[in-house]
Amino acid sequence: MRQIKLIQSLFLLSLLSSLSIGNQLHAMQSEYVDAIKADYHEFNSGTFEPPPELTWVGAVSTDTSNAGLAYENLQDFSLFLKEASPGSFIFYNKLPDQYKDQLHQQYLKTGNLDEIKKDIFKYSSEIKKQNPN
Amino acid sequence: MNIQFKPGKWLSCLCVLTISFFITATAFGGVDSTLELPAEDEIPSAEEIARQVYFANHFYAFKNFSIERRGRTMTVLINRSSSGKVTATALERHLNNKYQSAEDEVIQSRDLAIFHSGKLRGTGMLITEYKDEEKNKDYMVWLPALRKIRRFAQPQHDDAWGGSVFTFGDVTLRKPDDEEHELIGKKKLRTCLGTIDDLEGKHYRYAGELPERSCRHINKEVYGLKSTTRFDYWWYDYRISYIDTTSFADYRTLYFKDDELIKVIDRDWGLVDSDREGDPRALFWKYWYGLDLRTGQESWAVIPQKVVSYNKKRRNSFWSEKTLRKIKR
Repeated sequence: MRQIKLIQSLFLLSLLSSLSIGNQLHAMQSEYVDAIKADYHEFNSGTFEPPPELTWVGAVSTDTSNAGLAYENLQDFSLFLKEASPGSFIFYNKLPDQYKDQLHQQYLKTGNLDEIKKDIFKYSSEIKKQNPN
Repeated sequence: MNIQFKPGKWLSCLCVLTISFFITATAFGGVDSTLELPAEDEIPSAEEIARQVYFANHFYAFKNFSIERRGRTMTVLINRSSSGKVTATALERHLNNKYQSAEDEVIQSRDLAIFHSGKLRGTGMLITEYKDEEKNKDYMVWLPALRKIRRFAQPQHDDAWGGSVFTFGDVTLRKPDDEEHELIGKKKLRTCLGTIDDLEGKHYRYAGELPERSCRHINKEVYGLKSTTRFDYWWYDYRISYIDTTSFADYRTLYFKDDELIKVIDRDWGLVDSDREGDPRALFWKYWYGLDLRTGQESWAVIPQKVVSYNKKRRNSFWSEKTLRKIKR
């Protein structure tokens, strides 16, 4: 009789724990929620205090003035491009800064990497035509 | 009273409840394609911001707008339940905002959606929105099993779409006048937009390679708009939206009940054409991500850039019952 009761209570316990797991956010979701809560609090406090885990803040440093690299400056964008499309980066790297700026701004607006790659080759061939040597 | 189970009817209801959030231009709430951008040198009122967001979300900057099928590539909606089960639906959608001829002038817009996978495969839906707001919208559904068109009533605002965390109100039906708006501030967006993280960058049927989380909006200036519902006993009390100060793209919406965060929706937006020197609101959705904090359920709708087209030369007759009847099972 005791054994049956024990089995029953174990079954209930495991059922309850599985239910609670079902309602919990997994670790990555929790990091995401922490990040958006930190972002939201800035409306009230006026300052952004990054969460401990920075995967959703797009930053590698805790320096709040520089939090969120997110391709905001040209250097970050160049690093991103180098990683995302190493082939295109070879051509991109040879472009004058004004073209690089243009491509960076275009990416911020459209988010279309395929179009950026096409434009890199377009600008490269334009420059080659202008300076054949 | 005998209640009989009718598969056709059941399927019809399912269709209405699962019609995609891509069918958006169905309620104009005093906003149409003539809405002008606010002056650059002044901060718009909260109501004006809400109207501008509505304009962007209903693609009024375009005569017509499509997310179509390009070979095997299509828009896909991925749902992951709290138990971890993943389902996906592929679809195409065509919106027409240009109704100017005498016979069509009562129509505000028409929207056509065709489903290509899952239980709704082969189903089509045509929604007609009229300029007269008092007039109900027409919902016509092509049911492939019956090879017939059926008409339906408009879904409820809080109906979940296809088991996703998005409601019809979130994506289609909610008008600016359904809420009271308050501007709570202006700041920079600080975080990347959400995704189903373990699917990021992976190859997925229909959509090809799924995108990485979008971080390119970080440090863009956003308005914080608090919108309090006018509906009684509603599923949320208020929501906070992060709205781009230039393009009026709403990147994020946080839903609160009893001051507790209960749901998040993130939207990644892209400008359709960087050379287009016109309207900054001429945008399209690259993806939507939703997380219900009460259940842990996630939804992710991904729209590959190559399936997006706009202002195509198409006759208005494309948005008709005739096209619905042509849908192949």
